[in-house]
Amino acid sequence: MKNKKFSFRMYTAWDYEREIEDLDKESTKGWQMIKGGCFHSVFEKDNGIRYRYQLDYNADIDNRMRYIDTFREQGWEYINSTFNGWHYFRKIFNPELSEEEYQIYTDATSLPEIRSRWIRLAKILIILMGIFAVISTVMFIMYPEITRIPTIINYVFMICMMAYGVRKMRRPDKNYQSIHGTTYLVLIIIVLLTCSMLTLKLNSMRPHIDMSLSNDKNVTLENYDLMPDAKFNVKYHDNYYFDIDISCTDVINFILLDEWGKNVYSKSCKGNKLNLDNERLWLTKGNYRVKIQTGSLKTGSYNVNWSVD
Amino acid sequence: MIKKEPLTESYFYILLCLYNEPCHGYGIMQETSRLSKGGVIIGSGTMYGATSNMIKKGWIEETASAGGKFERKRMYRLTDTGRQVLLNEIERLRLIIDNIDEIIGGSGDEK
Repeated sequence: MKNKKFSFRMYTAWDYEREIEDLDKESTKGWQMIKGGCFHSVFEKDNGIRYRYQLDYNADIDNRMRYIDTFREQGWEYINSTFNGWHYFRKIFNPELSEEEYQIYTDATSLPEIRSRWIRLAKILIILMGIFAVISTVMFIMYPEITRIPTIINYVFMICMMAYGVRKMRRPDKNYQSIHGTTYLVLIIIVLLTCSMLTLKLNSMRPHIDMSLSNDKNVTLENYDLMPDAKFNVKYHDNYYFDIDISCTDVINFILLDEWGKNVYSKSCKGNKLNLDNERLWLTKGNYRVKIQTGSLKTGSYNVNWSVD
Repeated sequence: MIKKEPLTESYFYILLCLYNEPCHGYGIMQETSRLSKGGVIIGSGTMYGATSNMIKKGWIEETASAGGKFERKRMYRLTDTGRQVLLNEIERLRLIIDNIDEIIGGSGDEK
């Protein structure tokens, strides 16, 4: 049983040459990679042999057997493929052979092929994220609330990271001055998690209230508060959106009061229907009270439904 | 409508090596290296890309060599379209050689 070790070193796509260099270096130290991956690789100890490694990016191979055979006939041993289209190969190192023996792209035209293939995929992802970013921004413009901001920041950040990747892929960085793979991926994960959690937290702190009341019998209630328990708490200043649906045969008032009893907003239903969707109100932090108040005349039947989020 | 664009050296040599008879990838690579005196090497990545592209364009096709199950090798063969593409390219190259003779004189063998 040979000694094994695992590596969780991550490489960004445009640093694939750095990964190859590292694999070759490990091989000289006796650690031979037997399984490669985006997030972890497996090495096996064997001091008696030395390999040179190669990495190819090709996500749409039409004939897998032919692909592997094309490499095998030139002495490349196929190791494994990652889920997203990277393929690992290795060849036994022979110091008498020229360096060209260990290259898989030998043509000035075909050499950028790996890069352009990956860039094509990255561009599709950027466009997709761009669409989401635009949608989020439009939603924010139509229904401004603080809750939507982390999502926009998230998409913009992802687009910037991908654009950085495309730039690095276009211009190979011989001095390896690009952000280290693990740092890059950890950054993305942190921003993703933070934005998601912020959005959830902000959303959960909002009052999601939905109340309804109806009476189809004719009753007489003068200046009566139909919903004495209609109150909610606002935890942070922001725009809040109300849906108000009232139908009545007489007068019913919808009154919003702050904790000092001041009238913040009010609307009346005068014997027909009151229907307001996504009525935007800027509310400061505090307690609020909703008064569904009947008028001073006889009250007929009514149907009241209101919600805030 | 086959657009006349110059072939890269790798593409050209692959087609040239298949002119007389079908051949497998490694054979093409070795023959190319020999003909070009080591100047043109076709790595596996380049080879796969080129063959895929040429198969898609209909210039070459895969064919199996005769022999039992274990001797069968993956080989490539020139199609009629591919043969024509190669001949067109050769014409272009011959013209270039003639141009060189006209301007510089001699076929470059002068040392």
